Amino acid sequence: MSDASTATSYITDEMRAAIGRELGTRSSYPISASDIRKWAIAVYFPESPPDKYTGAGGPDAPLTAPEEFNPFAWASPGKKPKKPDVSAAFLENQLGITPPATKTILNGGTVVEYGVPMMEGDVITATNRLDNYTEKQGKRGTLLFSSTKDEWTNQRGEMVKRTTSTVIRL
Amino acid sequence: MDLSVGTQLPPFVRETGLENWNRFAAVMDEFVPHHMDDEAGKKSGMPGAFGMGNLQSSYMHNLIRDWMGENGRIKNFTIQWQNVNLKDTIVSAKGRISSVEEADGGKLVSLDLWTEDNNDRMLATGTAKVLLAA
Repeated sequence: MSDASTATSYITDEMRAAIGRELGTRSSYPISASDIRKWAIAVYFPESPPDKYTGAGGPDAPLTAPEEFNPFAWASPGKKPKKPDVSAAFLENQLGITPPATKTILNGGTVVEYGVPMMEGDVITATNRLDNYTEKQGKRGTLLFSSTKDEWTNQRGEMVKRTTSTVIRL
Repeated sequence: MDLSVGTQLPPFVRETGLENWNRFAAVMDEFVPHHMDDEAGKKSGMPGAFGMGNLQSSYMHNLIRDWMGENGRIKNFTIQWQNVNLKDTIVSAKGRISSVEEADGGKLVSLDLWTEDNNDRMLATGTAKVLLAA
């Protein structure tokens, strides 16, 4: 049985000092009607999505995107496509600090707060930060919980969504 | 609309496999071998190819949207993934009202959410708060 007072901690002073640091900022290309239609067709497949996502039943008003639509898929202005870092050290690699000696990474879940909807023509800017490091003791030893907070705003500065994502490492 | 605590939402149901996942890969740019190829899925310890976790999130959003209609807005949403979506299974996104509060502009309805397959495997669990306009 693990004893919290003697258990190994993965969190170093360097990691603690990095809490709150920005991991990256990116802006999307303007969201097109075609982007919205294709997303809705994919997530409702094989049935047709609601007309409001395709414009099939209405006038030429801008389309509204489904809440979980991702405007950053494929490409962002000024960003060269690169292979995502899927290693257990991906966070610290981004921060340029020494990673913890963990070997396994698990998805710990996502919490989303929604603001104004994304509309056709919107340009979304995202700023991602290291939100926190915490630890718990589990059956397999120390579990390191690392959370990031990604805040999206539109071209008017309105909050679109805040996503807190957690990974569990051990 | 019945807003009694415990009321279940009409489920959102899809047969799942490469036809769904390839379309989702195309809009997410998520061309990961274990979502497209049985051998790659086996190398990841699964019986074959398996679906994207984010598609479970979309199915839960579809469930909420189909239920709330045009008078609702999703205020927040959480998801935790439990098991992978195996090929050729039927996935049902389901939900139940857990509480209802009066709020500015309407009623704030809290939901418990989950997706499960036709082999009684829980794929993801979550929650949402939805503002239904008065």
